[in-house]
Amino acid sequence: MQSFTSPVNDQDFEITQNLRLDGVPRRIAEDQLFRKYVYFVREGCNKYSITEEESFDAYADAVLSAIDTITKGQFENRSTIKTYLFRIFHNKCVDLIRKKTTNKMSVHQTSAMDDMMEQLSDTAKSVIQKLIERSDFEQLRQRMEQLGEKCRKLLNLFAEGYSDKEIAEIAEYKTAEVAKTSRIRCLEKLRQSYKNT
Amino acid sequence: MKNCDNHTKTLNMSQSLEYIDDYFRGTLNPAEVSDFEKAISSDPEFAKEVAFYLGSVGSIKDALNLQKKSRFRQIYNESKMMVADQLVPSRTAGASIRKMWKYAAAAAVFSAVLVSTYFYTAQTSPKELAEQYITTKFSDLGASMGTAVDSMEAGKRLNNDGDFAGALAMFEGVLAVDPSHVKALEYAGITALELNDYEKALKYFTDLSAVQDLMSNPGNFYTAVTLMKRDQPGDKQKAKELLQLEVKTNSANSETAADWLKKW
Repeated sequence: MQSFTSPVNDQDFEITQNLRLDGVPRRIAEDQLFRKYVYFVREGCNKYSITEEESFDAYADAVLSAIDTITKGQFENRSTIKTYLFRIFHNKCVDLIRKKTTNKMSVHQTSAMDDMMEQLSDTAKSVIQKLIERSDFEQLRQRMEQLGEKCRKLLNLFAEGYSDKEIAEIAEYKTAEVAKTSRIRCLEKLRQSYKNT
Repeated sequence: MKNCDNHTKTLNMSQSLEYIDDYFRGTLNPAEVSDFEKAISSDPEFAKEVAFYLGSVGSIKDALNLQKKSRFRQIYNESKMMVADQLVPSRTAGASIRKMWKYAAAAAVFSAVLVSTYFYTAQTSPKELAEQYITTKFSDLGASMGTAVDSMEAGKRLNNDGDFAGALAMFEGVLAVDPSHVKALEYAGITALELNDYEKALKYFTDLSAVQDLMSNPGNFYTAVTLMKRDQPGDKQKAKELLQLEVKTNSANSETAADWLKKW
């Protein structure tokens, strides 16, 4: 875990620390972060001329994205959480306006997928984008529901952004390697079942 | 893991998923990242694996985010009501707050639909059902916005701020004076449950369920939630029996109990 120095203040420090925990402390930290800058929603309505609902969605998505980054230990404390969060919120609002004007709202693609795709180069992204548009995610979700409880817990922890070391501690695996192997096996099981449909 | 364009063709499914996982976890070096992205363009089967990985992890994340968003919605509505309470002049406060309540009620219904949709669609264990219920129902005990402070109000505010130990102490203080205080029993059980103090939670909820002549008594239902969350041998069975009783007696929580039993 990274060490936090200025400009991160004490409350931000506490929130970022608690977001790395599991269960109730994490939930409280998520709510604290959302509550602390909730006035961004009003600013979004005024600044970008979007509806309150759209601004709420953009802000909630921005908070979720920030939580993800902080949980993964990727938050670089070169700015305060407020500055960092506002930057994401701004981008979400601009993205929303762009999608509205170009009518490019995707039915299939989810916001979490959007965020992950950002890692890919433009060429790779365009190939994956086409495949995703052709995918049957409803069926994938159904297959997921048929996975065992252990697998679903593992994949949930992973999706929450925990490292394999943290997953091993929470889900009581001997080592991070074992947690990773088990996690990959669960994905493989899902892949196999999805392929067979 | 070392890879190149041709190398991806020799990977089995497990290795391929591990390679993709390494990429999205950011553990590949720059050369490997470049190879990975080239392989997406040159190897259609590999590209399909990447799309599957993104689709499955993305879908799980979205299901989790949906739950969080419904919690955020609740916080947002509360914050709006608090602002209205503070800013609106007293002459018009009544009308504005009534409007806010309409909005909040609509949003609460919306949140409830979101949460219940999630509960319906996701196949979850009794323990997970209990955890989801605790997350969505117990994080806010609805403290009043007035300035008058008594132990019950102070306890509710502490609970809402996440200070469960402080909240429990407040409710236990009330019970020390009045051991049959119905709301104090309910809230003491809830805060004990938030603290994972199952023995205490079960004691308070059992005491609550024994209180007679209430219009609605959530004691048995909360006992079931506690047992589901604790998940020790025999707990599920006891919880199931209590939920069946809730359905049979058509209690206030019978609908939730029936939904859960369908997934048992």
